Amino acid sequence: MNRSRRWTAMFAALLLPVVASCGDSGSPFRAPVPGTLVVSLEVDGTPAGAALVVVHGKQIGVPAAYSDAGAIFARPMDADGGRWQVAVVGTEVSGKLFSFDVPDVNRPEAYSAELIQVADRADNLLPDMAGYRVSIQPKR
Amino acid sequence: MDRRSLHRLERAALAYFSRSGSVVLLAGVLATTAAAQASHTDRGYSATFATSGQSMWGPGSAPLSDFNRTLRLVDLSWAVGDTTGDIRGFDTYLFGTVSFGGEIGAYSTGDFGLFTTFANVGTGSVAVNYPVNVTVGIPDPNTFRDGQTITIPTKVQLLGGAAIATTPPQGSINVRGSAALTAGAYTKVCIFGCLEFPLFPSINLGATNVQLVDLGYNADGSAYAELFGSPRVTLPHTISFIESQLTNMSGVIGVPSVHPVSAVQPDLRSLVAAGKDTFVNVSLDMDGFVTGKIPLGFETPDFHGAHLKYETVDISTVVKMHQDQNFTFDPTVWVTLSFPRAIEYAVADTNGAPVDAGNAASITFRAGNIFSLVYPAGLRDPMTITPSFFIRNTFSSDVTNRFREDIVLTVGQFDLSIPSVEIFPEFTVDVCWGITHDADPLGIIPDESCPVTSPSVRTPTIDISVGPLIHQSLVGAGQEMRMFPFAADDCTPGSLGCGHWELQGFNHVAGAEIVLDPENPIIDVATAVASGLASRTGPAGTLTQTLTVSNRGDVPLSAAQIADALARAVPTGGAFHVRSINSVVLTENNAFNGVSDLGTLTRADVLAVGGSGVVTVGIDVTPGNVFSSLLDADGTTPIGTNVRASAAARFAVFAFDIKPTLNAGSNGVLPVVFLSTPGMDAAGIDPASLRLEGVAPLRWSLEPRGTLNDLTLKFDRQSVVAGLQQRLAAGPVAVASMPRPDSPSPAQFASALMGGDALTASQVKAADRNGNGTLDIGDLRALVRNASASVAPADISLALSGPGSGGGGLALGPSAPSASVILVITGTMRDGTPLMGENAITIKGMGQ
Repeated sequence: MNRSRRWTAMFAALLLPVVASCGDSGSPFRAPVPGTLVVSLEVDGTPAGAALVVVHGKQIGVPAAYSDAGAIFARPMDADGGRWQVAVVGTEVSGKLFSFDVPDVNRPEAYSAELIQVADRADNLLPDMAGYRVSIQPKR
Repeated sequence: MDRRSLHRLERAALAYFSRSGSVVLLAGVLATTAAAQASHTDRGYSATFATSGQSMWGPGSAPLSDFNRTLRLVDLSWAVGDTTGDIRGFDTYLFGTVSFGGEIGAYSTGDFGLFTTFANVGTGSVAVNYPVNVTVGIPDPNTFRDGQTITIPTKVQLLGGAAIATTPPQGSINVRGSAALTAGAYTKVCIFGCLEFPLFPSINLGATNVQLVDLGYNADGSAYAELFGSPRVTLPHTISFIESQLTNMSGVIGVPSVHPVSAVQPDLRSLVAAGKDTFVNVSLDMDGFVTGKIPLGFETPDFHGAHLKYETVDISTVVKMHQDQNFTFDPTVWVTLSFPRAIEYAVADTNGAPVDAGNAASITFRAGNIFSLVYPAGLRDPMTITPSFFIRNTFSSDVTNRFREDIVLTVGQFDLSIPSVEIFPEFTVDVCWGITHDADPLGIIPDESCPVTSPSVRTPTIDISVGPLIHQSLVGAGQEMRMFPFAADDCTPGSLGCGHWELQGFNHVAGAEIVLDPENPIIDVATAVASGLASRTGPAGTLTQTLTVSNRGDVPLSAAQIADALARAVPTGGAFHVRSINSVVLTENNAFNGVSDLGTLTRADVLAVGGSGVVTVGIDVTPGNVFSSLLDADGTTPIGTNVRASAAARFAVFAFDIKPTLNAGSNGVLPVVFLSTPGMDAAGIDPASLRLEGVAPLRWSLEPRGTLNDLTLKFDRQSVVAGLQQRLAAGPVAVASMPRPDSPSPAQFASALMGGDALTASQVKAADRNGNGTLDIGDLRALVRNASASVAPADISLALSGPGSGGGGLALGPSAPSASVILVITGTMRDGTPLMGENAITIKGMGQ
């Protein structure tokens, strides 16, 4: 082995463990991109009248109403913005409900949304939320 | 009384009132349902009825008039005689026959009596203390309605401390005796010869009306006794030894002093008092009446065996005198209810049997009975009753003197004993010895003895006993002297019978006032109809009807409803359609359409006392008609009374036309015209009432068009523009701006829903709008929907172009070059019906 090849082998030996250790937190070579994620309500049938959603993640910004989806009420569930409860009330509630800012919009998989309650448009709480799902996507 | 009995009584009362034609049914706004049972709250009234100083013999101070009665306690008489003896002859041979022995003869007649007299008996004194608790069942407020028969049950409980107390009556008691006695006795004693002589001189004595004991009262009220006329002694008195020696009496003497002991009868209502006093208990040697006047008895000392003893008469008596007092007090507690006006009433006993009925302002009935009244129909204000309590009674008195005597009578007891006397002593003769010895000094004849003895001679022993001629022992002889009631003439006129009367002097007791408070349900409904655009509560082409229902009564009204029947006057004219219904306080019926579903509410609401609610109905209308609304509001009280109210409104919508443009910068007039349509003649409009964007017309005229008339008007352009600016700048009005008093804001509710500060119980109740018992996202939606304005800002003006559209408060901004705006004119018809007309106009040069 000549001199240059020895240096190449040594560099690879030092770098590979570092790369391997960063596997689930993104590429160490790509800078985080702050942005906005949108929570949507997917409806199989009749639009809802209101929905109560909990979003989980890290450094979640204050949720904001998405366009004319309806009025929203939000309340943080912990001090570091890791969980928020959001109530959305409108004439018809479906599609994009609300948005919130995150430090890195390229990692939507780090955030999740959970549907807690759904009311119909006659203000009745639905005992069965089958047919209603929430999802998170980056705002485009 | 249990509830079943109460129902039975109420039915009986209703039956009575029905028969008497007294039931007044409410008509009109108050529709009665089956009479509900008013609940009651017991109120206790403590009352102590007392009296004192009442006579034992009749009402008030009635005396025991002319009471002077004598009773013979002892009445003994006898007439007896007897002779007995033993006299024997004895031949002395020397002195002939002599007599030895004795004989006694005796006779006696007698009559002993003992009498007692009671006189001058006072009234005594009776006092009664009778504490009770009268429980009155007062119908609870608002649990009955006017015209309804309500019951007031009562009951009485006797409290501790009830007693009859008496003070013994004073009087005089006199005990006298009488005695008559004849007696004679002789004896014959024979010793060799006979000697006859009287044992004592013949007796023939009589002593009548001998004062033995006199009992009475001194002026100072102390009791005294005089024994055989001796100085008075204070009673009770125990006879001393010396007095006993002087009077032949012993024991204790007093005057009747009965202190009855009270007890409550098993009926737990009436009282009895009973007592007994033994005021005389003496032993009396009645023959002592004649002590010193005759030798009633004699006995010789024993002299060599000779003994003479006699007793002419001996009467020993033990006399006891008792007084028994028995009183009964049988009261009835009465209730008087005083009303401010005459009312129909009925009274039933505890078994439901009618007792009394009538129409009066003051009714008295027995406590324990059930009082029913018809609360005056039409009177929904409380009525104050003043109760009072008093007592009626039957009192009875029974006083009896009882006497018992134990008598031992012995008459004529004689004993004579004469011992035997030796007349000839015993001697012995020995003839043989005398011949063979005494007469043969030489001893020739052999001595021989043949003694013969002669016994001594003695008089016989004489023991003679006579009597007792009478010996009688009477134990337990008794008599009664009934003091009261004694005879029919003791019954005081007006009293309740012999020995019964009503004890006087009892007090009346006033009780705290009772308030009967019927329900007074009042529901009120009002409505107003306005142009949605002019009132900034809706878009163009709409009417906004406001329905206000309020509870002005004193009970909550449940299942509240406002039926709103919408109609149009001209069948071929403009149409209507309910576009929205909204209420903050009440639960609106989203299916309401004013035609097939008239209910604006779901009947889920309860109108609290003093509470009100507003329902706002948005109605799409098209011109050319008079739209009417007929409201029928109702609610139900807690006892089932359904109360109603009605209201009506009309609103005319005319076809209206404005000349094509309105230059914001130009002066001059703006001509407009109300166009008549079939059934809608503009001639019926009051032109002076019209306002275009708040501006009054400058002038107007009617222009005939066929059979109809068009109304043309001229307005000042700049004034109209200014009015429009002002309306648009003011923005929309939230038509449901009246918050529910306890309802949280949506933000407050949302915070609580998501784990923030909890709501109060009243807020939870108010916020549970979907009524599922929990707070959820559906309730939040209802709160948000009702709290927000139902009119979007864009509704204020159609087709408003240029920057600024979609904002919050709308204004014709300086940068707006032009806008198509709908103007609205409002006013009234000549008959007062409000009206409106709308038409779009393009405003140019807004930014200039």
